Amino acid sequence: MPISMGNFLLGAGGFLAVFCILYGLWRSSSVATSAYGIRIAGLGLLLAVLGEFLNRLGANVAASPQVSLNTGLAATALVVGAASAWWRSKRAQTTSLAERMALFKGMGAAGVLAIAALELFTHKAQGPALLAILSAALLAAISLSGSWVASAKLQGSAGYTWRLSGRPATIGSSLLAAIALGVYIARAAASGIAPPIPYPGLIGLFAASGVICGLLITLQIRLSDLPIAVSIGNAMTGAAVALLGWVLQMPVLMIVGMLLAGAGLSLAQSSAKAMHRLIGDALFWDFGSTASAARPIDAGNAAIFMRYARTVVIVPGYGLAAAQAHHKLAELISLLLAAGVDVKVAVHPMAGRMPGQMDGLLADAGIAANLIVQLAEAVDSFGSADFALVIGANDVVNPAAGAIKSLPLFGMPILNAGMARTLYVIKRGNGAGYAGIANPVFHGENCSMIYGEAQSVLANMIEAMKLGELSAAA
Amino acid sequence: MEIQTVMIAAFAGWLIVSRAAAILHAPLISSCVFLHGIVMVAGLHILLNATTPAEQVAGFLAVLFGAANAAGGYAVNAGSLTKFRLAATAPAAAAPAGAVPGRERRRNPGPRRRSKPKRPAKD
Repeated sequence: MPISMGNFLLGAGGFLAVFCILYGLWRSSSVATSAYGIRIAGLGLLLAVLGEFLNRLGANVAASPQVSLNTGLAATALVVGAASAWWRSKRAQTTSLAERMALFKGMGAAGVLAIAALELFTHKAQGPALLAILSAALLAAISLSGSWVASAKLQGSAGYTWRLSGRPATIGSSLLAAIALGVYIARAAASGIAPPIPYPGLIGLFAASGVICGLLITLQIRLSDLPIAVSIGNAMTGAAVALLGWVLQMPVLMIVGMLLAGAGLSLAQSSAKAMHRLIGDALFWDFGSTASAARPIDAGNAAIFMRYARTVVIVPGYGLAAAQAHHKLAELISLLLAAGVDVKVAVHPMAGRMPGQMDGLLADAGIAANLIVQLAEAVDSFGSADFALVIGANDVVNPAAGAIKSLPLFGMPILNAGMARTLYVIKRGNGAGYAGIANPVFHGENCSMIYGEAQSVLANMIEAMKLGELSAAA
Repeated sequence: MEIQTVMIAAFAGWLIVSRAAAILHAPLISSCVFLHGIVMVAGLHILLNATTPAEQVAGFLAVLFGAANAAGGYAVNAGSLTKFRLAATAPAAAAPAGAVPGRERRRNPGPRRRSKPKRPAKD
């Protein structure tokens, strides 16, 4: 094929579009440049769209009677789709951003489904292309219904306690049904025998079982596992786009689709890791026991959030002393101070197993005395704090503990760490404290648990902060 | 040839994102959502070459949905990233309005440096 100037320009345009998207994603994955990366990626997308328009202008004119109508339709679709979505997202509240995002994600999958339906109903695809289209349709159907549910859950209109008894079995059978129907459609198309059910009916059933599979998975998932599910859905839509690109012979779609598939899987894996979950558990097997389980958070994540806060109040307890983690705490505090955070250490006289133990420990680690606030002052400091970090303390931050006569804490004010905007609790497990009473503060809306021994959790936090500083400086 | 391209693309996607800090997972997930708008390019391809009403309808729908995905995703993502940046810079210093975040940091790493001497001294 001779390389004309037009072809060369189109190839270069496609390359540039792919490059911008890749580079944009690359920049997006660093804290300092993420806002700038998304703009580059947006530019890439715009280039790909422009390239497609230019392509049509230069290409053969087989569809010449329709070309003006088609161009008009394309422009209308672009403007209407973009403008309505833009307007709706601009009007959205900050709190509803996530559910909007899930809804927009479903739209991409719907676009894939529209094209797949065209290819299936017009019998254009044959052989391997037909299989590719069927797979793309299945992936998009699962992702589409999954994102409906994700959006509804984030909005709070779908309860997350909806459970079926045989979860893996129901999910598996809907998936198997979809695959079996797909194979049957492909075989019927190849052999040319008319199936007992009309062809459109079969395709409808096939898509419906995909939709049901997506619903079954996401309806039962825990709210805290939603990022994993959304990310897996991203990977599926990406793979569907790539398959479509292969059938239509469009390299830009193939490359960007697979890029998104890889990124989606990677993100699913790392968010699962950050929450100490396995992807399989989150999606199919372990949906957690009850809705009121304490929320876990990754230590590094928590550290970076605190690094950007104005005020952090730290509440050390027996867990810190038991793990001999006071030197690590001193290091964390100096990092936070260097980042310009106002750090206080609130010491309850009863913190630890004996009065005064904590003061000695903190002095030993070289934590400046002017950072340490005692009970009376500390009680007031939580209301204005962005973060409270409770390290291995339980009873001294438990409002219920102050009311029990048999405890040394009886009658004393407790440190109301729950008053802080956000509360992080470093704790080894879900057990109650020395007093043996459950702490309602740990189940509060603003509380996240960092499970682990104080020494290793603090080490992880320090490491994450140092990494964060490096990437910000780069 | 095609399979190689596709495998490299998948690997690149995996690699680029796997080095991101945990705090960026949520914004990156929504960046990926936004990029699914690429499906409108497929829709455009079908619509602009359409000869039958079926092709026109399917192409129109794909472009409509893809454009909504891209524009909405971009607006939401850029909005949340701006807030994220503001939250990140607020304690250090008030960033000049309209500054390009990435570039600004490199040219003038001032605020962070200046606050460095404030470390806990044993006193």
